[in-house]
Amino acid sequence: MGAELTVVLDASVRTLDPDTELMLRFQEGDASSFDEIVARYRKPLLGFLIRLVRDAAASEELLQEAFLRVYQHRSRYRPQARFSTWIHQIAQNLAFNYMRDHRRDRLHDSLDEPTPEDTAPRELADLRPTTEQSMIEATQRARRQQRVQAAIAALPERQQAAVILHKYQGMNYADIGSTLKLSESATKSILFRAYESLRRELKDLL
Amino acid sequence: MKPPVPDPGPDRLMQVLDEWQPTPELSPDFGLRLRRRILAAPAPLPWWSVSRLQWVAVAVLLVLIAGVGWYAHLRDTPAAAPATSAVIEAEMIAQPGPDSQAGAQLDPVMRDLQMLNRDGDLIEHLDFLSAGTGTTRIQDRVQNDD
Repeated sequence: MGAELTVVLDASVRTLDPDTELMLRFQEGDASSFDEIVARYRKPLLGFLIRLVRDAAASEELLQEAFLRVYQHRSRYRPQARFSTWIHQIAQNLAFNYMRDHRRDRLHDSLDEPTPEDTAPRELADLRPTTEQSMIEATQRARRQQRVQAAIAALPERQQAAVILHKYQGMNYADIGSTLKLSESATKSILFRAYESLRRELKDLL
Repeated sequence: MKPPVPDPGPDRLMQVLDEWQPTPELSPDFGLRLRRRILAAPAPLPWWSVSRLQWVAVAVLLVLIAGVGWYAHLRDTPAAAPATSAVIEAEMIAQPGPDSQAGAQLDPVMRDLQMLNRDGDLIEHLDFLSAGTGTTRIQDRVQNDD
C-alpha cells in the first residue's frame, strides 16, 4: 500500500513538474537535460542570489557552484521533492555560508549606505519639469530601491530568504517551507513577522 | 484635528517591495566557465568511499578486537601438560627433605611412598602386630620387666 502510494506520488510529481522530469532524465545519463536545467534556472537563481548576497560577482560565482553541485550530486536527488525547491536549497545554503564568511565586510559596507534621513523623499515643488526632473525621479527610485534592499538585508537570514522566495521567486508556502526546512505554519509565521518588520522599516514609503 | 492616517495595506507594501528589481546579467562566458569547472572537478566519491577515514577507523578497531580476543584466548587456555616421564623426573629431582616446602606440595601418593621408603626398617619389624601372638609376647615382656 505504502509502496504503491509512493509510486503514485512519484508519478504525479513526474507528470506535474517538468523540471523534476528533466532532472530524472539527467540522473539517467542524459547530459542535454543538465544544459536545459542551467538554461531554465540561471536567471531566476541569479536574481535570488543577488537579492540575498547583494554582490553581482559573488552571486555569479555562487550560481556556478550551485550548478556544479547539482551536477556532482545528481544521484542524491529524490523526486519526492520538487526540483526547484532542491536547487533553491543548494543556492540558499551557499549564500548563507558566503554571508557568514563576509559578515564583517558587509558591516563596513552598511556604514557607507545612505541613512533613511539621507534618502527621505524630497519636496517635488522645487523640481523643474525637464529631463532634470526625470533624472531626479530616477535618483529617487534608486534611493527607494536602496531602502527596500537595506530593509530586507536587516532581517534575520531565514526571514530574508523567506521574503525573497515568496515575493520575488513566487514560491508557495509549502515550497518555501521545504527550502527552509520549516513546516508550512512556521513558514507563514516567519513571513508574517518579516512583512511586519518591513512595514515598520519602510513606513515613510508606504 | 487631523483625520487618522489609514494603515497602509499589505498591497502597498508589496508595491514598494516590487521597486527592488535587480536586473541580473550573467557574464557572457558563464556557460564556458561552468563547463570548465565541471570537467576540472573531481568525480564525486561513491558512497562506500565517501568516508575513507571511517573505513580506516573500522579496520583499526577490528584489529584491536582480534588482538584482545587472541590475548584472552591464550590467557584462558591451560598450558599443555608435560610428558609423564618429565613429571617423574622433575619429582625425583625435587626429592624434598623432611621440612621442605616442596615436599608439602607433592602429591599425597608420592608422600606415602616416600614415607614407606624412609620408615621401611621399622615397618618390617612391626609384623608382630598382625599376629594374635603379639599380645602374648608383649605380656611376656612386661612380666620379664617386672
